[in-house]
Amino acid sequence: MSEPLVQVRDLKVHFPVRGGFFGRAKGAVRAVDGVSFDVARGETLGLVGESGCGKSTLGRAVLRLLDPTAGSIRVDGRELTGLSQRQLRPLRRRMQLVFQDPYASLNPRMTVEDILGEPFAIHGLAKGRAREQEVLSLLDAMGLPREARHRYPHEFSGGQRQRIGIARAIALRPDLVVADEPISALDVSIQAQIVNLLVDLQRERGLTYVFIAHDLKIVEYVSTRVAVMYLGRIVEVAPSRVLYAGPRHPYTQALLSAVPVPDPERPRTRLLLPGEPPSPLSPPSGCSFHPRCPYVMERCRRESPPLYPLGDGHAAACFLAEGDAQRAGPVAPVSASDGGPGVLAQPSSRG
Amino acid sequence: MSGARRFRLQSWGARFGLAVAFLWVFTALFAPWLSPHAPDAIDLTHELARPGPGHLLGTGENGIDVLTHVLHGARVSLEVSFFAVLLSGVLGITLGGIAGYAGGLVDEGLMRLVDVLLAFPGILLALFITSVLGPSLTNVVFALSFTGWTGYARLTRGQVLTLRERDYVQAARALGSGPGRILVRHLLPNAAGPLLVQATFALPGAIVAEASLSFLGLGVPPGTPSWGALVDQGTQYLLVAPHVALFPGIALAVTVLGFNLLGDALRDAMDPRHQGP
Repeated sequence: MSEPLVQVRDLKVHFPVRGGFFGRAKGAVRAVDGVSFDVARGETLGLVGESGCGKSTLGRAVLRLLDPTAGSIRVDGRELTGLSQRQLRPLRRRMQLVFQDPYASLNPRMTVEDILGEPFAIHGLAKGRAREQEVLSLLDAMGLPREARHRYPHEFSGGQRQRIGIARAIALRPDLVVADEPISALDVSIQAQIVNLLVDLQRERGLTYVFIAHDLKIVEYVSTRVAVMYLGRIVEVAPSRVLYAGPRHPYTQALLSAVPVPDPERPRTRLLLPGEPPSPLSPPSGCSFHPRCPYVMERCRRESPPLYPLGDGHAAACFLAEGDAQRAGPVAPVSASDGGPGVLAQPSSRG
Repeated sequence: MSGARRFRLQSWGARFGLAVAFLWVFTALFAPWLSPHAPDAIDLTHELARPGPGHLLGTGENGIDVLTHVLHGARVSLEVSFFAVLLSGVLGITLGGIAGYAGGLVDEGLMRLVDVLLAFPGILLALFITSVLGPSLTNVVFALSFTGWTGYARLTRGQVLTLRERDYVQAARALGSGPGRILVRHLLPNAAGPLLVQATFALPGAIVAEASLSFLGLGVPPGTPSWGALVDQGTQYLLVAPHVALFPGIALAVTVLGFNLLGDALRDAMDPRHQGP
């Protein structure tokens, strides 16, 4: 098996909160707080979670558009943390970003030709006629008319703009594309087209995606594997089919129960979570999900569960999954302080 | 963001402002051909004469032709205000752009310097500089730019701070753009609208500042035709020959009013809330 394209280890991104006279750090927003994952070449890792869970921050930190506080990011075997922005510049053509808002991601004062030509200009590739040819072939690949190159972004619809944004991202044939909610700002009628475009491009060009979204159905459709984030951590990760068939973390279960099912016959058991996600400024002790968890145990308030490997690439950060863990996690085996029988009797809802 | 293209003389203020601007530039460029007399010509037999056939706007001290001095005064005010706005603009945009993009100590240092300069009344500082360096057009430009750049610096810094977080700037970073390219290709073109408005408002300020310095005798060298200098001369004869101060005063007021109205119209055109039909 070849080495994964992306290897992230214990990544943390904390934003200092300043205050007082001399702008001293009063605390930190722990937007990403100890995340580890791999992305294999050619696969799509879906990243889901509520707003504010840190998934966009994670996506941008992987591309080093944000400076990580701690941890390691390796892309194609190369360590990215510790490199200066100047050192990163030549590497940037290997990894790209597709943005959520197609209205904000294109410079309103540049024509499409300038926008799509810029990647080549920055890296000193393809000049003059050759660059024009590259721009034209990108427009063709995106299904946009060739005359579009002389127009400005405001002359296009949201879907067309997103195609231009995608064209810019793939212009230099990157290995990795982080798509940060690429369809959530688009009309429903356009969403499918853009998703299919991304899937086709992946097949044609062998792209590796990190696909950030909150629409679970679309993530299921595009992703090879899915990671669920809650308050700056990955709480569950599994191959797409496995996760949707048998979520093990209570948070994943709650998320999936919120997905509408287009079948009026099927009874719905909606798992409603009390309260709101806590502030990442002061995350709860122990498992950060414990204040909202229906199966909370005494232990959850004190200890933070590691990701227990459950086989088939499935892992969940919940003490309820500990019994099924393939090998002992870093946390000591079941201790006497476990929760009562009522808690242990909860179904693990395995498909 | 096509504010400039939407600007189509929709208000009478814009029309008036534009007309004044054209007239002013035209007068300044062609003053030697438009003037009935040479600016240094004197007519001692007709000192302080009322407006009449020989001297349309009358004469002043030593029989200088007021019309000639008003027309040539436009030339001085154009030179001074154009170069002062240009120099302070280049200085302010560069320093403000650097402060906004670099942030940290560079930003802190530059902005405190701006605060210090803004704490002084600008005209007082300009007076100080011209009284040290002596009255000359170059020194007036220098004195006005010394304080004038702060407005552009603040505005540019603010624009850069908001624009640098825009997705298209992040996209350029993600593509590997360096700070210079981002500043020139992405930040400044999108900050151009407000900066143009700022420059349009700064122009009448510079015109008045030049006139004030010349009025106080610390602007242009003595004998140079300038509106401020002519008003200064006229104040001595306000009761016997009010036209000497009146006509340059009117020229000054109309020009300043015109540019302020033009600035207003430009600002409205840039503002997306003012999208006229």
